[in-house]
Amino acid sequence: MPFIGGRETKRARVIIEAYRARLASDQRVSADDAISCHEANLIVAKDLENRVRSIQTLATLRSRATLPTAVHALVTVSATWPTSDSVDLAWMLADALRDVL
Amino acid sequence: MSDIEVLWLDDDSPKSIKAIDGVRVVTAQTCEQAEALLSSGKAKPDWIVVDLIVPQGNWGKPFRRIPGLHYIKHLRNEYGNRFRILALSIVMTPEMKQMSIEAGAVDAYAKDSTSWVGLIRDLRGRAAHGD
Repeated sequence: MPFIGGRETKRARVIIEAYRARLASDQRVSADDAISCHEANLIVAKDLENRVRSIQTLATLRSRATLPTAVHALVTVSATWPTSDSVDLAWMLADALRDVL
Repeated sequence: MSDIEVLWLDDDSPKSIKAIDGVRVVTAQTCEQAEALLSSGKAKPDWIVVDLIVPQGNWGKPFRRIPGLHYIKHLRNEYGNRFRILALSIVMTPEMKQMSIEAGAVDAYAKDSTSWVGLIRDLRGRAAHGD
């Protein structure tokens, strides 16, 4: 699993909060905003579903998502693979990554 | 304050918000939280805005690729026409919009085509016209 330092985590949280503030305001959010937010979420998210959901979103935005993002997501999610629901999650993750890749 | 209440289901929705532009707003960050608010009667929305890619929480199995779409279908099946539903997503292709409407949404928007406050204004306008 790639090492993620405190500075990167802090920066990721700032990006996520900025995105949420924009979303709740009278400002529109763009696909670029969402990509930055969900890439940041992959760094700070602790629960598996949250990470998978970010992968789903990045896959939805696949024309803009990058290969390193997809690989990082796979490594991050695999590191905390649960024993339950693993088959469902495996299929969903494979589906999402197929779109990204 | 308007008589309209909106339930905003979106993992990026702020937890502490009470109103936007004079409209009461209740937020849920997962389908499970939204379902708890509705089934307990703590939320009695006129409109529900559903982000299509939203965490399910412990609502529904198996895990869904587009959870919001399945949750919209559930809302229609479980609650009938008690409230109206709008779908919202960072990407809203014509196919996703069609699927959202077939699932039970009145309309569907891309997040980059309108702001959240703009969406609320649209809901107020629809309510004023009796939509």
